[in-house]
Amino acid sequence: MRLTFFFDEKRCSGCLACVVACRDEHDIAAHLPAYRVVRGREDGPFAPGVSYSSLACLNCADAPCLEVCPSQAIFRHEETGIVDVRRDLCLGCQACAAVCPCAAPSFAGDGLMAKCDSCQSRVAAGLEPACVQTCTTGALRFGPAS
Amino acid sequence: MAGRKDIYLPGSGVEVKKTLCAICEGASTSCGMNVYVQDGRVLKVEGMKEFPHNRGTLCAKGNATRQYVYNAERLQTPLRRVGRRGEFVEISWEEAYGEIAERLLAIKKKHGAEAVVFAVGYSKWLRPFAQRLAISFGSPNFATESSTCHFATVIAAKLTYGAWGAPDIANCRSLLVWGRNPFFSATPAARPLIEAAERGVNIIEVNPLVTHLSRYATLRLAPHPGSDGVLALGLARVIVDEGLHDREFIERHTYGFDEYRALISRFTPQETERLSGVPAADVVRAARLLATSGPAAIMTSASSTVHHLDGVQNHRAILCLSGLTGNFDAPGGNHVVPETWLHVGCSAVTRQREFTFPRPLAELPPRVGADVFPVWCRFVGEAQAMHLPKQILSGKPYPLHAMLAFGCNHRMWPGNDVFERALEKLDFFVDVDLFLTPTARRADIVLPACSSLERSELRFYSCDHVILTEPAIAPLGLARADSDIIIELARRIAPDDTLLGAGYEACLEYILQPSGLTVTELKRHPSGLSLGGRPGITASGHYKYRQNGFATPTGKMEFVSTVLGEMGFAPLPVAAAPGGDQDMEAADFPLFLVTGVRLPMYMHSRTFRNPWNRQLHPLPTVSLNPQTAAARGIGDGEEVLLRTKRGEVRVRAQLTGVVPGDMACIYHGWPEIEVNRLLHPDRLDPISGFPACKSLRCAIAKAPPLPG
Ligand code: SF4
Ligand code: SF4
Repeated sequence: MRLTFFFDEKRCSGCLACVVACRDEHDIAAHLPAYRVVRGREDGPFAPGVSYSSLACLNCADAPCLEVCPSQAIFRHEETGIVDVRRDLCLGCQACAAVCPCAAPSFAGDGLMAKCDSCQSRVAAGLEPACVQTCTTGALRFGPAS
Repeated sequence: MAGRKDIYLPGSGVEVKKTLCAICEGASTSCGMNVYVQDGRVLKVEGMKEFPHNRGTLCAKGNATRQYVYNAERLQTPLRRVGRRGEFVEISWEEAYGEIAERLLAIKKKHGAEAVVFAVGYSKWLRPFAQRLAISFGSPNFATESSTCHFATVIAAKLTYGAWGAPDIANCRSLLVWGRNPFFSATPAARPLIEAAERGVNIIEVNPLVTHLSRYATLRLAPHPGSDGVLALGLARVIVDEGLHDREFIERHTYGFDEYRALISRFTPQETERLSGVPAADVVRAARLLATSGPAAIMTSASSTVHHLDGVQNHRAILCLSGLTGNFDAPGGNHVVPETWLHVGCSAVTRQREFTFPRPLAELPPRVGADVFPVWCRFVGEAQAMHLPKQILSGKPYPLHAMLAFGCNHRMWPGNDVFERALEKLDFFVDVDLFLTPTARRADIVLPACSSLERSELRFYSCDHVILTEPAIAPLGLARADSDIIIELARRIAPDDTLLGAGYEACLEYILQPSGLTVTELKRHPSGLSLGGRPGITASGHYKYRQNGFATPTGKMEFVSTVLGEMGFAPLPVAAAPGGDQDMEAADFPLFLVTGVRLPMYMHSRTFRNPWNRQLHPLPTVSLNPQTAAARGIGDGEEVLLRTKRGEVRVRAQLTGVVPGDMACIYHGWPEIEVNRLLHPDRLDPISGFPACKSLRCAIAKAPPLPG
């Protein structure tokens, strides 16, 4: 099984609750990027309103980051398909960032890769990822791919 | 990091405690919250999944709770001013209580108890306790931030129907959402609104701004700021012209329909278009939809329609549409549920009123504002806080000497520099707060209050849920719950009040008594409990006016308000054209200025200290339409001068098509700029006393470079 995020663009209000929930869950300081990124644009499908996207790692089926990592720091959790990183193995080479379609890997903190892990420890405990649970509109869901 | 991830493992030693978020605190928010606590410290928060009100969600502010509670700027000890305002020394609680009691009792003896004002801003849950303290002390002067928020809409409802009716979103087929964007201001309402749209409810949105709701709206009307009343009268005219009004209801249960009919006849679709900017064809479509696709409910805002000189009349014109179409107190319309506790109506009955008013206000001297805002005083059992600065400065009709405030924010007053001068004139000023705010800095004594996580709170919800929280963590430093502060002060300044003196839980037992709930039972249900099906609890029925009439002087729904007529105001919901009086020198101030439009990460002034919130919108901005900006040579993110007749601020332009071309929008609570100084302190609705924050005129120009 591979779990992933689903995003309903129409529902997303740009309220940014998911971003702050991500920071609280992973204790990410304000000067560093959150693992989830919300962006708005005015020329989207809901113009003249703002169309938002809320994006984090999708645990791609053919995760290119996992392929390019020279030190096997990036791995997949067997049961959930969640793509995660062993930071002690990371070299900080940023090869993953170059290939990720979601801009999930970040090196802004200590120079080693940090990324969304779908709140792996919450999921293991039967909870939803923090961003999904907090999503005020129900735009975010998490579940088996397809 | 690994340690953090273990918090979900069994045996981690982390306890999940149930509490409430009180950052934005109100009838439609106050979200249920889980806090993960280890060794007495909160490691993480999340929405309480089993809580029916917010269903596991929190907004961007609630999710930053740790930065709010553990903020380095939290006050942790009582302070006393030494020398100049803003300079303090730490004192003990005993010293603080002793000095406050001595000073207040001396002022009471010399000038009368009414010379002491009791004021509550945020938080709001302590209001009944603080008002009881004021009255037991002998002062009628209890004032709250609701002098600028929500109560004017209640006045409009009471003038018209004798009661407030809540929109029945679950059962309506059409929903008129007027000037409200809960997606940013009250996120628990977000999912129910989307679900209603997905069920096929016709949403008619009235808002000059494009909001998230717009994409779900069957029809969107964008009137000029402040022309809401005109638009509502225009909708009414179409409904009556086309014979779509509820004749039977109007004949049996309303007063003044003929005069109302004569009034609305002026507002043809074309005239409505001219005054409000809403195309005539849309006026006709919206009116038909509202009247023929019922039941229809009306959802309004706490401020956007009433922050105008004609605010109450604007709002009355809107509310009249409910009765006109027979939707008032009907299933799927606007349902009257008597207030249970803290502005929430549900099936439970409490002794809120008996608790809050140990003596009738009529036995006390007149309240602040009684001479200028008689309608306010008739319908609201509080002083009109907007009048405080004036009365402090003028000493008329009687002098005010002291203020005991809880979470007071003087920057919420229009022309707040005037209130600053007034605060300096007081002989004695105490402020209770979590932070040394700009207001607290002006106090003689500052007391540190607890956050909602460090204290208990009783809350009812309109979905028939009730919760009594217990402290999830110990208070920070020497901070105390506002209720404990009130009770300790009561023992010293109102010793005859034995109920307050008996303590917090004794008060709760007294308040809860008619509901059949007890503190013990509530404590056994840390996530709260559902009131549905409990013995002795019955839901409010519909069409209650058929038996009891309306609680107005005529016993009917009043198109023509007898109270307004008696008090010398227009008895019909006559709303003037946008902007009312005014600074309409259109050439000098060509744009409407709307202050107070919500941003999702801020709540008045409360969350600017949280880096997680601040990071999301770091600099003060004014939102402008790209065309408005282009005409002035202003680019996105560039600095502009925003000027009204009364003052100017320097901010960055944020260009966005959600704002119409004739308007500028600015958030009010920025710490760096004084937005409310742009407002004239005397531009108040004479009926409610509410400030006209949302139909000001302004000019915008590119800012010259700063010297140096
Ligand atoms: S919480 Fe949901 S609605 Fe809000 S920004 Fe995130 S995805 Fe969008
Ligand atoms: S809406 Fe946000 S700030 Fe308000 S109570 Fe809920 S979580 Fe807290």
